[in-house]
Amino acid sequence: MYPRFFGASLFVLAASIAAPAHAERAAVVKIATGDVSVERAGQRIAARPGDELQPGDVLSTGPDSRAGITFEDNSRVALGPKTRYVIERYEFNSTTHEGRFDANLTRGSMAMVSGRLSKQSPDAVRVKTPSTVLAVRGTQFLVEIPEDER
Amino acid sequence: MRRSLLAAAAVCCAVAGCTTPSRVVLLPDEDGHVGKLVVRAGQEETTLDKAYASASVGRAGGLSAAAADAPAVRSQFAAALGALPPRPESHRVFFELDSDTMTAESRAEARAIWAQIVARAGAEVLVVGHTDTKGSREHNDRLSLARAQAVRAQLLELGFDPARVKIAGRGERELLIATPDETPEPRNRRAEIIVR
Repeated sequence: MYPRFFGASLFVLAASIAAPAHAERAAVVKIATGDVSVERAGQRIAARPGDELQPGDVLSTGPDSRAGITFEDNSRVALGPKTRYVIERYEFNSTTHEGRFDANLTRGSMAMVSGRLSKQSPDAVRVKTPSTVLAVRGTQFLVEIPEDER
Repeated sequence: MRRSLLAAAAVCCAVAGCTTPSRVVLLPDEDGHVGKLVVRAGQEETTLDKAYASASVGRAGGLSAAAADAPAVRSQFAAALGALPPRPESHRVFFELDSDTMTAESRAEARAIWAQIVARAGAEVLVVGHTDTKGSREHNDRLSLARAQAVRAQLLELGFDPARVKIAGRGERELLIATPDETPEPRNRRAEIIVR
C-alpha cells in the first residue's frame, strides 16, 4: 500500500495544481556544499537547497565541493568535487512513468540512484561521458572521469 | 577555463591518439538488489550486472571490464556518495470522525514527523487528504481537502516554505481499508504525507 503513495496519481494532482510554475522543472537541489553553481541561458548563479533545475541546466562543483539533486521521477544524483554535469534532456510523465532522461558528465565524478524512468523503459535513462554512453537499467552506480595525471 | 581544457584534450589526443578516460562502477541498491548498466564506447559494449562490476575506457581507448574492490570504491567516491539526497519517504496521520482535527494518537506522533520534514534540506511535500465512506461524495471531497490543509497549516506554522507544500483531497476514492458506502472506518480518515 505505502509504495503507491510515491506513485503516479498523487504527483499528478500536485502537478495540476502547480502546472504553470513548474512546467519545466526537472529536479530540485537538495544538497549544495562549497562552491556549487548552475548555468542557465549563459548566466551562472550559486545553487542552494530548494532551487529548481530545468532541462538544459549545467550544474558545476568546485574543489572540495559537492551537490545532491532529486529529479521528478525520484532519480537521485550526487556530484563530487570539480565536476560538471549537464541535464541535456528531461521528460517525465508522472502518470505513465514514461519519458527520457539524458545527462552528460563532462568532468569529475557522480553517483546516481535511478528512479521511475529506468524502471519503466530500459533505454529511457542515459548518462554520457567523454568516452562512453551508459544505458541505465537500474539503479545505483558511480561514474568518474579521472583527472589528467600529467 | 573550459576552452583551455578542451584545447589540452585536443593536443593530448593529437599527439598520443588518446581518449578521455572514464570509469563506471555498478553498486548494489540500498535494499541489496543489483541492477544493470549497459556501457558503450564506440563500437564496443559491455553489460554490468554484478555488484561492484566496473568498466573503464583508458587513455588509449578500448573498453575493459573488471571487478572493483568495494571498500576502495566507497572511499574513492566518498564525496559523491555522501551527497546523495535521502530517498523519498511517506508518513500517515489519522483524523476524528467528520473533522479536520487529528486523533489524539496522531497529534502525539505529529510533532516528530513535522520536525523531521522541516529538518530535511530542500524538502518538497505533498499532502493528500482522504475520508471514509460516511457522508456524501461532495462532502467528503471538501473534508479530505480540509484535512490536507490542516497538515499544511501546521508545517507553515513551523516556518516551512509555503511554495514547497502542495495539497490535494481525494475524498473517499482511495480507501486504505475497503468498505461499503456509508461506513465509518477510522483508518480511512487520514492524510498521506509524501516527502521528497
